[in-house]
Amino acid sequence: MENTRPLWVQSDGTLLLDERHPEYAQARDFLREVAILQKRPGFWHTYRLTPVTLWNAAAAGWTSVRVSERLAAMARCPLPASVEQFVRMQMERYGQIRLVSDGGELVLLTDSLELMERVGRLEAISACFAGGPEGARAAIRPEARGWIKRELASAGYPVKDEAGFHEGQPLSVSLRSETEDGRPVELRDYQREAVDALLGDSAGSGVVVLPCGAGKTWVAMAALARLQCETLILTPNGVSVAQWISELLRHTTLTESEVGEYTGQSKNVRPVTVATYQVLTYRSSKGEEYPHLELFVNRDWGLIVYDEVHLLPAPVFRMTADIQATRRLGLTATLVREDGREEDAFALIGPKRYELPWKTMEDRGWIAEAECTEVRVPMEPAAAADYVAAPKSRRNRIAGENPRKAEVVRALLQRHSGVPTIVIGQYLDQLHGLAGELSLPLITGEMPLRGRKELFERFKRGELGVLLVSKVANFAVDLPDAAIAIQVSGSFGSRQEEAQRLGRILRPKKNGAKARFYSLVSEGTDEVEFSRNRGRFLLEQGYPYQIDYWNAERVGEAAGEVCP
Amino acid sequence: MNVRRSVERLPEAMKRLIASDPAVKARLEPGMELADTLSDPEWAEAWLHRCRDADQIAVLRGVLNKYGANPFEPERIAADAEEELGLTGAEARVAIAKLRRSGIVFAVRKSWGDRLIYVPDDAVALWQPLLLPADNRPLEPDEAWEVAPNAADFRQPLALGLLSAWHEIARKPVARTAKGAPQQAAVARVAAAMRLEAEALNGLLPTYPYGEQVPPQAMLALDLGLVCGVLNEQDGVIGVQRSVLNEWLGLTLREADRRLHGLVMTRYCASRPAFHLTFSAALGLSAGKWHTEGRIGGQWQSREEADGRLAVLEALGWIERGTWRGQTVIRRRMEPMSYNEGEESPFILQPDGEILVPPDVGLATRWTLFDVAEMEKADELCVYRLTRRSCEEAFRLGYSLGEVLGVLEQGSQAPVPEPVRAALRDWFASLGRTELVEALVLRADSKEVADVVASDADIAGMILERIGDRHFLVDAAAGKAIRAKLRQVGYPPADAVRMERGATDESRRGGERPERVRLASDERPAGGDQPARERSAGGELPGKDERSSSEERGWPGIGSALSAFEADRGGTGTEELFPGLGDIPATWVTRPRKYHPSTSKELIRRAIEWRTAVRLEREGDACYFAPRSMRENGASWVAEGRWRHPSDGRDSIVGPMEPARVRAEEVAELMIVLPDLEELETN
Repeated sequence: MENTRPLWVQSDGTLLLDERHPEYAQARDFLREVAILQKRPGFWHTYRLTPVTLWNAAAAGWTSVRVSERLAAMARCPLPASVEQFVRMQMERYGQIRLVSDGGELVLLTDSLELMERVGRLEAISACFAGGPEGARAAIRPEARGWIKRELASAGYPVKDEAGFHEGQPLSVSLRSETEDGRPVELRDYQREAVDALLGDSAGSGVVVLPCGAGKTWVAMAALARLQCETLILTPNGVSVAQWISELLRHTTLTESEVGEYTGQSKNVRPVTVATYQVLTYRSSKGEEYPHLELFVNRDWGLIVYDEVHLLPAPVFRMTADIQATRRLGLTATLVREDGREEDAFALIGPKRYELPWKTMEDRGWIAEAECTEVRVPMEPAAAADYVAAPKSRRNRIAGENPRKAEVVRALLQRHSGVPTIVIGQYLDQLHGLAGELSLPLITGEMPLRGRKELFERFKRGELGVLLVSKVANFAVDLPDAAIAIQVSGSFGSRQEEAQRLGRILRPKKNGAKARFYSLVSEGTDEVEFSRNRGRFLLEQGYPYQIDYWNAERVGEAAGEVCP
Repeated sequence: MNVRRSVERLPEAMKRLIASDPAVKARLEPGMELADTLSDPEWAEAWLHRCRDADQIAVLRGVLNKYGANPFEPERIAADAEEELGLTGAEARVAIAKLRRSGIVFAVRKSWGDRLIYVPDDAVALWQPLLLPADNRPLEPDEAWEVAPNAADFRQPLALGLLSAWHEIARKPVARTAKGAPQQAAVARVAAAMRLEAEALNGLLPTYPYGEQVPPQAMLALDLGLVCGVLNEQDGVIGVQRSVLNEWLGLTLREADRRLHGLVMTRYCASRPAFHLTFSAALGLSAGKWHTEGRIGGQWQSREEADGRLAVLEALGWIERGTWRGQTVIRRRMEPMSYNEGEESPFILQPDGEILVPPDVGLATRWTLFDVAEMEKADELCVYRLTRRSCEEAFRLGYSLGEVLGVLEQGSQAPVPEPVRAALRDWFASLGRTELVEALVLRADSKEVADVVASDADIAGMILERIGDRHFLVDAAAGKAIRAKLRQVGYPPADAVRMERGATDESRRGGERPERVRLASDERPAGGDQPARERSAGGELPGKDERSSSEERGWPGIGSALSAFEADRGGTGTEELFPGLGDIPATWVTRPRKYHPSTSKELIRRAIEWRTAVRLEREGDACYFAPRSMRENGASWVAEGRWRHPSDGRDSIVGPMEPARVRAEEVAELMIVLPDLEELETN
């Protein structure tokens, strides 16, 4: 055993890296290539080897021997046999099956006859063959290009797609040389690296992993300017459609007539079209086709951008399988899908081409430093009695809506007066109550899109110091200047929720100020536990929570107490 | 039975005989004990080196191969010798007698007089590499790269599985049902703690009592625990014996695992030679390198048997299996080691409450972690987690918040991270806030009377707490005094202590006490009675295990019963080996002579009785013949048996020789051939 080395390797492919070790940085850079970071709660960071991470490594040019040797050289104990075997098996699979274009025909090639026979026995695969395989070569029906990749990936076989892309309808577009206020436009180094990695020699399609606030839109705009083709951009919701459009118009030479919005409200298909996943997956009844998936083939797109690709719904995946000749760019802050189907994204969007971790961005000053505080608020006596008497199903809400949270919000707003702040909540009644009590503007899903946009704009312009928002603000809404977020209640479901909310306030501040995230939790209720679960994700990303206890008698000092 | 016990039971005369053997003598002189000498691999090697007697070596190899440490009757080896080793029964019996005098095999006598011979169970591993080497070949690095390891779940070293099973037993001792079987729920918990499926241990354990109720993983934990004395049984409840446990926890993981190698081999494999050979060969490999399986597969046992036995070794965490160019290969796993001898690493406490335990963390630390955290995963690093439930459990075992923090700080050699501290504080905050107590209550029928009673200074001194207008908690021990005092102040209490509800007749017999209120019935299952807040899992069960030898402990019905028999005192003299030898004419066994058929018949009969060979002259040639049966035909006879080659060529003989039939008339000269008895006659 070597206690001078930085890594522990578990037999199930979990890797633990010591960040205090002198070789940490090198080790981390290597692990980022072959594994996925699961959490980094303290000095020890947990990574995991998965089939997809190893395929990604193979796609980036690593061999299994080199990966095993590097791991063994860094590990404190001999490499477990199961890990060595797993690395070899998964990595050697990449490249064993290729899709190529041969005289206009789409062809599947395998390394060996035996492999062709093995995959040919899978019904889902042989269904894609145009005629029977000849040796290690099988002609594939052109429309099955995505389908076969996806089926093989879920059977554990990555396919190296070398069949090329079609160029799409040309479109003349470039990035503007300077911003509206006259500053020169320059891509950050990592944004440029991401585009290079995406459009490099053997690449052309794939996923770029950047944390919230890293300017993923810029990567897409740069790719668009490089490829000069008509482009479809897909995002999770309407607010973010509007933001994409405004970014495109501000930072590229595209004009309004060239940029279309395709949402529930308006359906304009233009050379660059921004649509929501929601509208694409809309259908009037369950048995019916999805009418708006037509959008994929309405124009001759040369590039499709998938924003927040980890949220991509299944029908869009299916449609994506049909347009594999089109270049694809997936943007996300995390490769982890809550449905666990990471290999779908690998097969249909492409391998991970670039990644920059959250904390690294912070260290380099690209995103603001953040401080997270959990404030424990005692229950109001009446609410506490209600809580005890209520059935379990109603308790979360009673704890979440604890009326005493209002006084804490008030104190926090007072403390941070003048700093742009958003207050986020789960329950509309509570939000309406706070809006009334504290005279604050409120944005909810009930509000028309136009109204929402207007409030967001006023907030950005600094006319509004505080915004109350419901869940709609969770994803893909750009509020660059918010520096404080106060979460008055949260759902206990998605572990990404809290990270997304924190992401809202991580844009670097003009004055270099820290971002602060407050989560208000009712003392003595299940909320404490739920909050701990949600917070674990943040902790894993390296953002520990500090806990403060709200003391009503000390209101005067309280602001100081909760905001050290 | 092991070497030590076997030596202890030897008659003094036999001990002296053994001690006179040069290889033994050379070791006894510098002060080594006899039992240690006879367990020393160097002695075994020296003995073998000096031994010029091919019969002894052939018989010992045959015994190891066929019986392992199983006892056998001398007649059995005599028959085997004829069938399989190309020796006569007499030669085999003499070889056994000589092996006894060398301290290599031992004998016991059953109560009805039959003798049983055996190799001590821990001596089998001594001889296997010398006499039955497995011939495993290490693979070169470029060959090893082609090995495809078996896709198997991670297996922790047996010592760790046992530790968690024993902790489970410490937490909740295993009681037996009225029928004697251990309680099913309890053994299921023990089995789960082992983190091994029942199938993984296929074939390791012999059939044992209550086999249907107790899965093999649980049985392994119980039996090994009882054998090492960490567990003992008291009044039908199997629990932990704290003093022995503490000794065990003082071992390093590596020492503990090595002890277990020995125990598993002697206890479960000793009587199954192929099993035993497989284990001792595989455990003797140098760690970390892939080896071919050599004789393990195919020569000693069938392919399937070999696979099954190697699978058991894999399940116990001691080897890994793989495939290389179509054949099975095995690799001995690295033993858990410490960086610096005797020094253990800290564990890693993550701010999210996860605890990572490196391989060189000691058993005592791991035991404490079982007290305060939940084990989540057994792997190269074991993963524990602090949870609300683990805090409840720790609290139940008597840990305070401060003590848990202390355990964590000491074990991780670092301050407890703030998020962990906060979570533990939250979880502990709700613990111990309520309590059920049995108490003595003094009740008055009105507040006025209660006030009068309370105003008496003496009574006030015996009141623990006023719990209402009319009720007081009083010192139960002062019941009598309070009663007297109440009489004095003019409110004599009713005679009997009244039970509020849930009263049993028995508890009504309170006699001298004032009104008694039973708040809680705190009954526990018989035997499982542990104080509610006891320090650390594994409170001592009363009573000490007085049985002296580990092999007499353990689950009844597992392990050998040899120690029940008396050590055999005789059996190595010529008269015992060849009864009646003194009564026959010496020439019968010293030189060939011509006999009348009626006499030659007697010679043949003796030879058959002693299972030895005769030398006869026939058609002018001298040859050796081992008669097995004889048919008389008046004065003449016909004997059936086998031809034998002259004794100097015996080494090369494998297996039985050609059958033969000899008639009295064919025989010119005759003599009984006895094995070399010189050595036996010197004493």
